[in-house]
Amino acid sequence: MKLLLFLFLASLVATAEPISEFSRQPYLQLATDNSIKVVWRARKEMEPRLIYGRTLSELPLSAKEILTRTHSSLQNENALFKDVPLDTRQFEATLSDLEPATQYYYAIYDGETRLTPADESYRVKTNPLPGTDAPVYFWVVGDSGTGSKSQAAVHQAMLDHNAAAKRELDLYLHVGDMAYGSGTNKEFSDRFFKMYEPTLRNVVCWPSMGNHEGRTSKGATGVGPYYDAYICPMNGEAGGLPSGKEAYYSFDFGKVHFICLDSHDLDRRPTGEMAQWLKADLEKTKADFLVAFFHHPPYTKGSHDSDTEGQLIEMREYIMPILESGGIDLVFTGHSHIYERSMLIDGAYHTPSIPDGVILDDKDGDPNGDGPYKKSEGLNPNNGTISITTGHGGTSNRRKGTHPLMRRIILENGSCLISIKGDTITGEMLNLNGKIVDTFAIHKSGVVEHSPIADPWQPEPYTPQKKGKTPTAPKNAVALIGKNAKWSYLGGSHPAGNHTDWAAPGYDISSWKTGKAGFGYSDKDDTTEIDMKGKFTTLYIRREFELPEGADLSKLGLSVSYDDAFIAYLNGHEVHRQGVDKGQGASADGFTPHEATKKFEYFPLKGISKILKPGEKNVLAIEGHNANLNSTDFSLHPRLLLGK
Amino acid sequence: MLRSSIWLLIVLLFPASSQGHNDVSETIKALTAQLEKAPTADLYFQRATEFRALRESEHALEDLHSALKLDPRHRFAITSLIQLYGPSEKGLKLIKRYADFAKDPEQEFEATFLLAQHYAQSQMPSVALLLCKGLQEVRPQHDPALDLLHAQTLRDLDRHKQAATILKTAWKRTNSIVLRNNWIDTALTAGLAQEVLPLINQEIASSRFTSSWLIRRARAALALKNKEQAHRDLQAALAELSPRIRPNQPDLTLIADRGLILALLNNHCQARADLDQLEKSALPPSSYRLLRDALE
Repeated sequence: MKLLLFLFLASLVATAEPISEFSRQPYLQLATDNSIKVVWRARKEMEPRLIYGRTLSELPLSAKEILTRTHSSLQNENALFKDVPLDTRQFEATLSDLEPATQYYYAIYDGETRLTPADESYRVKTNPLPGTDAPVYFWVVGDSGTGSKSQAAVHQAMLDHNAAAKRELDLYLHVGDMAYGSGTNKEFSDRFFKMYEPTLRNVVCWPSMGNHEGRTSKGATGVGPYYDAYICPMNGEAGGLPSGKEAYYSFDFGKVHFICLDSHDLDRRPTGEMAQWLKADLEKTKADFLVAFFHHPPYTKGSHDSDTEGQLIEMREYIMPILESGGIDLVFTGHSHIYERSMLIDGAYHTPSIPDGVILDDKDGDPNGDGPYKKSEGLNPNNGTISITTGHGGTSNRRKGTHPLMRRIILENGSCLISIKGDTITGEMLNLNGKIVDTFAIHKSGVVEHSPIADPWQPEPYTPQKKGKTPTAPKNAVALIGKNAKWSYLGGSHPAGNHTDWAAPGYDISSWKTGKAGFGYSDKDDTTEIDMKGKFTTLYIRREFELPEGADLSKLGLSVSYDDAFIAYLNGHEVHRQGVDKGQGASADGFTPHEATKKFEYFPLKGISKILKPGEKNVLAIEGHNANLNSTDFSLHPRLLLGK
Repeated sequence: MLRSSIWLLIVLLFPASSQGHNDVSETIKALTAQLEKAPTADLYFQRATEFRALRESEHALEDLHSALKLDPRHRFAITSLIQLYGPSEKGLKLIKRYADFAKDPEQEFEATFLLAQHYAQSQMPSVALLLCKGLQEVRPQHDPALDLLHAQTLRDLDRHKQAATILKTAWKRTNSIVLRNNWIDTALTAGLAQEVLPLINQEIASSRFTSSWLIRRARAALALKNKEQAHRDLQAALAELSPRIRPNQPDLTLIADRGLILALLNNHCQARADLDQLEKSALPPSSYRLLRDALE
């Protein structure tokens, strides 16, 4: 009992405060099925020692090999980049002869002085043997290295989510731009290692280089702070073929083959060394799942445009054909500060990107929505790819358009959590508030043959909101329907009749319930709780209101707090839709996730003069939609306002 | 023969990479505003890099020249211009200018490497070869790019065995699979089929997709006068390859493989059709060197 209490307290201390002896806290690198490296830095002479073992209380083994690296003025071979402080020492300990898929605990010493506490968070886990049926759960982050609150929030959201779900990461992929603005050693320490320290001490981050790291580090030579920070497999030691360069590499985790490419500063053409290696590596792997990651997205209309920028075009035109003929499942990228997740695509190499003939499945891929995407078992050429731009890990986000291959476009900070288990890949986008705002799955079983869809679903065109032009409710507006007004509502089934009958005056609502707005669940912002999680996604509400004679209808508008989407009707006529791409009621589709806030959003209603009857009873009806059946919350709280 | 693949080596050393945190066109606007206030060579170079990211070569050239007017020794402006001009008189003049002011061993190595590339591209492989040899002596632990250039110049001089030796040695030194595969391809051309056959068989036995290795074994079989084996391997390679080739927007590296199979099967008509498709594409000709050589 005393030991448990000690371990608990030690764990708190270690998590809360960095260890002062280290200038870069311990972190893991280059996991294989029988070895792993632990790396740390100090600003003083040290007699480095690392011991490890299968239980926290007994660490009988000792790392036989610890490489010490110093400033280039102090050593020739293996020197650190010139921008480190002169007294910096980087220690790289190799734990070897380990068992596959096995957890070990470690402790770092300076001579006889123990530096790391007896804390179970100082642990490593080896990869399973290639080809074995082991599930993998990994985190993907891009464009995060700002040192900002949003970067920290994205990290914390992942930690909280995993703690609540009692899950542990097997690995972490970073798609580049992890140390703004120039990837210097100091920026790496402050904006990457400090920010992710509790995760990095027991999870390997497998990196790909972004353009910001590229200002100080060079892929061709493997020199710079990026290459000091990471130890990547250039000799095929973690599975895959030797690339001879740390800039691009592959590794295996059970039945999954991961491929990292350098899209920034190496030749991207098929004649280039990287593409030649890629082709050979894809020919060789016998994995069942393929995941590629690199910095520059082949498809994006976020803060960057893949139709006009050279590196992005080349990754699409030269590299994507090789990946897809090799049977790729997932492609993760960053660079563009946005979350964009594609439909199931193949052969989308045109410039500019077009949806014709390249979309194999245009549904949402959500197991609780349209259902998972389907692919054949194992790796099969051109059987469909999901491309994810996840450059939203800590920077301000931007959008300049709508990419025609995307199923989900979300402009908020977050990261991706991916699980591969059995024959299914499941992907989730976790936003910085800890909410899952996109879910998709790929089920790989049997033989699935796809044909491109002739007239695929298309995302709504993007209309940028001009600064200062966000509509606001008219001053001194009168509420025709106020906050917490009583409404009739229907959940769990769709109204009888055709799709707008229920919204028209005179419709029989005697079987509907009544309740006060807002409606929903979770978030503690609802007056009428609706038990809809996991059961249904659409809620219908309606109520009558009296429109004064002589009302200025150009000043009528809806003020709504909502999550995720809704369609509004006046006297049975649709007058506004928000976050619903197409359809109505049961056929509504293409929802854009949206978080309700305390502040109501105002939507002026246009073209309503012929619909409304001044001096009489009129009907406002709204169908509220949740983007996902198992979404963590739902809200619908409308007001109808009339300006004076 | 022009070998545009050589230019990949320049790309390795002098990437045309946008550095912007934001949208490229906005970065250009911001740089333009700064240039209007106080022009510097670095700003011109940065803007040229952004123009290159947008593939606007003319604007990039203008800016690079403006950079050199302000700083005639701006290393990155010169090397970017060398890349844009390719194997031309202008390119050669710039390489020589760079070599003149190269101070440290790194810059001297780079300048000599560029010169070797220039001569290799300008159908002067003997000169390129001398420069490559010199560079290899100066820096034994060099990047594989130099080995690939060195081997290329030897192949251009029909010294295939020597080229194979260079590549094999480099593979042993670096463990790079690209060098190993280039060695095997060159060894087959050099008539060293027996030496590489065990490795080819190993790869056929252990790979998921075997078509590229079946092509290599067929080339070995043809060199060893075993036409039946070659025919069997080529047919097997074709059978595996065909489902991987999309009718529209195919992976062009697979078209190069298919063309080579067809050429080796003496189906020159269809092989020529594949070569035509490749020549019309943006792929560098060295991507389909073996196919073109087989049809010559």
